[in-house]
Amino acid sequence: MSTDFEQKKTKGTEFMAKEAISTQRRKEAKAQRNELLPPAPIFGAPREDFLTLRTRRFSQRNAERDGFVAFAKTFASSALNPVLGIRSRPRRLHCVFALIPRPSFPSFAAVVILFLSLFCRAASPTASLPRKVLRLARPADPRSLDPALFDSNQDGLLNVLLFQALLDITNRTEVINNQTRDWSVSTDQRTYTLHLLPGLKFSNGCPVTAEDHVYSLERFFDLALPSGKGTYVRNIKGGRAFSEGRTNHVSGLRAPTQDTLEIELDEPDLTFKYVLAEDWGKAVARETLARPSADCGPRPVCTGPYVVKDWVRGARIRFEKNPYYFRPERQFFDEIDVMIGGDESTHLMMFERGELDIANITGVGVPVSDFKRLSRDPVWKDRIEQSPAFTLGYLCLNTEMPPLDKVKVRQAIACAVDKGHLQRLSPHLIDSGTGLLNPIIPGYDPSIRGHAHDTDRARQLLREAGYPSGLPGTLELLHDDRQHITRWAQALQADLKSAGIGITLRPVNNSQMGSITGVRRRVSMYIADSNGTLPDPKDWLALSFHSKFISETDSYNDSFYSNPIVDRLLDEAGPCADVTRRFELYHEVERIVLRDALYVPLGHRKLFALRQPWLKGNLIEPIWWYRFDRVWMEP
Amino acid sequence: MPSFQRWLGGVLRNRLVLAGGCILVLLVLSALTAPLLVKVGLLPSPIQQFSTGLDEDGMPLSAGGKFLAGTDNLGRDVFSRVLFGTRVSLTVGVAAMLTATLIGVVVGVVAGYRGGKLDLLLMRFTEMNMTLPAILLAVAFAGVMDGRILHLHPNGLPWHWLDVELKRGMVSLFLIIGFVCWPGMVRVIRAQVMTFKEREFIMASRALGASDARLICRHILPNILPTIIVMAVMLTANTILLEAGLGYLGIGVPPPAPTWGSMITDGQPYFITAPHLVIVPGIAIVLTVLAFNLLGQGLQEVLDPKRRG
Repeated sequence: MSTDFEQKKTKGTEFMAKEAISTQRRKEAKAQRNELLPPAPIFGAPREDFLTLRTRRFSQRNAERDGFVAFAKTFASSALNPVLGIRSRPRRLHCVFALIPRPSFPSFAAVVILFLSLFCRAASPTASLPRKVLRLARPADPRSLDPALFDSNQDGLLNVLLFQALLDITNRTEVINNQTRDWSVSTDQRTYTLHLLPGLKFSNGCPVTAEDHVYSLERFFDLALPSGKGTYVRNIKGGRAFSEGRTNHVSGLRAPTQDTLEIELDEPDLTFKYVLAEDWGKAVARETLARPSADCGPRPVCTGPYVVKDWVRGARIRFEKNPYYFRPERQFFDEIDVMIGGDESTHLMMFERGELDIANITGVGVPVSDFKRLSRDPVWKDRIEQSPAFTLGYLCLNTEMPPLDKVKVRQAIACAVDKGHLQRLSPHLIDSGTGLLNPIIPGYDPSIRGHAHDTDRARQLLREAGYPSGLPGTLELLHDDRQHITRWAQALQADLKSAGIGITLRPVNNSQMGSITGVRRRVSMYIADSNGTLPDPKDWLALSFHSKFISETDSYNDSFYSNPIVDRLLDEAGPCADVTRRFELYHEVERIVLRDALYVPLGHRKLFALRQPWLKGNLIEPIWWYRFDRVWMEP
Repeated sequence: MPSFQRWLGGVLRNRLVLAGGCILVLLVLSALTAPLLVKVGLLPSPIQQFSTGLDEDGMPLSAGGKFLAGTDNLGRDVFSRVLFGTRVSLTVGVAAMLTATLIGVVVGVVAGYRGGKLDLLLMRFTEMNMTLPAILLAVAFAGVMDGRILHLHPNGLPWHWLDVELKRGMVSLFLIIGFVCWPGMVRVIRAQVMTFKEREFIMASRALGASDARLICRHILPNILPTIIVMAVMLTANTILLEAGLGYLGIGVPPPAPTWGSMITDGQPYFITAPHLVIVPGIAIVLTVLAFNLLGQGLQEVLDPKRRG
């Protein structure tokens, strides 16, 4: 036993001695390596020192390794090994630091300067004039950029960037020259003569002539063009014959010289000057269109201050300066960047983060849900701009769809609507609507009122119409998906239910509304919040209620109402030169329309704009809403 | 009977079952009594728009005072709407669960019992359904079903009282959700059936001349019933979530009927100024889903002999 013990003791002693020797050797090797390691980085160390150090270091490594490859390999292994779960020896990591070249001061300074230059554009000469980019957002792509085809309610703001009309409207109703040097109207109010400004050019550099305007106006009579805007110019002489293919030219449109445009009307029209300040006074480049009924396309050749730089559908549209615009002093922005997508709330959040320059250009201007917060926020409250607008919110009832073909049913609906409640839903944004005409429209009469809210009378009217226990089934109420319209729709649903009228809500995208509501026998009732095209009662009354404006697919008369008395009154009012008599006739029409409950007025929306502090100038006004040619950026 | 009592005792002793059950009972009671509370005037109607329900700026009122959980963007009482929303959610959720369970059990049992090519066909069809996101499938179904009339009688017979019009509402909604949620159940049921059909007592019954229908109904189904119960309870949580999701997307029960999903949609723009419009229905959804999940997990513990052991 003792022998065994001694043997084991001897072996243990030998083992410990070997361990001590190997430990000592490891320590010596480590000390040797440490001695060879370079000192802490010193900028500006002599080049010779660096090279010497590197040579010495490499001499200890495998000779076949090139310096850069070795560094890359070592670095890669040290970076990837932890990821791949490979345990590397500590000294390898040590080598990484050992292999990093020690930069000289000039090279280090060059790198630092290069890096800082990325962030210091302001210091460069070109950066002293930063590009002025106006950033906007809208929920969907425009339907078209063609002045004959775009949706006036939705896409008008983009269209005015591209196309400008012959005339302009200022101070709500005053017509002034825009692309004309002068214009006149004959004493019988039937012939308009306009002289174009000299030197007008399209964005492709071609001159704008009176022939271009003749061509552009004739497009509205082309039945192959899917535009509903022909109604406004159907009074031009020879238009009907052209539409029917009996002539190849509208006789009432003439261009006696390159810069003179003559327009002859079938009958006097006091509002035609406004028409020429709108989409019908915008010229398209005829050379660029394959045929008159063709769309101008995504990058139209235009006459406005900007041209489309690029349009990525569903993402963004970017506009840049038109180099041939006749008033370059009004091109305040180098670029206008319109983001496509998101809703009112998303746009507001982007605005508050400073990603947009104007909060909302398609809704009310300030979302209903955030109006109170923003109007009391010290940061934003002074940046909310407000203006009345030529708007009317209304419930339209289709007189061709049963049971709305019965006047008592329509009157019952008009009586059931609690307009006071609608007003309470958004008191700052909406003026209560009593009549059809907006208070800022010439000829407004505050004494004309629709049916007052009276639920009992609504039930009584339903009984008289043959529905003693309310309307059977439900009626479909179409409305767009904007916040304030959705609230109106829900409020109306409850109001009508209390009178015994069941309603099913059908929300649709705002851009789809126009294409649905003008189709005959398609929609029973819908809520609209439209803005007027012309600052005149004719726009609201004649086009909406005259039976001649009923069509199968694109009807302006969207209640499909036909009343010979109303037609006669409107026919008399249109050409009437006596303003007082004219307004009396329109008042009579308004009373009849409200009595027959074709439209139930819900309110007149005001216009708001919330903009960043660096955007100066007068941004909003009643007729055009946003005037981008009157605002500029200041730091 | 003594075994049922022992089982019931086991169920009631489980804490998860107790917690889930209590919440569920509370929800069911509130759903049942909500119309009565409106009748006796203790609760405002969920669709009544109060002129005092909005402040002078037209904004919803926060919780407190006359309105326990505040008002919504039209001046309606949020608490009342949440209670009435419980009726919609529970009804649609449970009905959809029953639809999905029925389809899932039938397909799972047939596939597992018959095997062969039919099994292959049914399971590939099931897997195909599982690859599609449930919410996407439900939206597609909703688009297809909206306005359709389902004829539940043979062609040529004028039994129009059996016609079901699939307009937007609870019936079409639970059918949509039921048709979407069944595939998850099929796999488990099939696996269980395949296990049981090879057991000795099934073989013995077959040897004694029992028909397939008898084997399935008398022997297999009773044995897989605990699994079906647990899965059905868990599935209800999913169907309720899906109902809320569809309501949020605007394809649930049409307004003005209050549903939790549509309440969240309506309240979303007001999240900064009136967060209770989103939080209150959100809490209701969380509570209900939690209740069904707790109940399901508790039942699994009680009914699964392996876990119980």
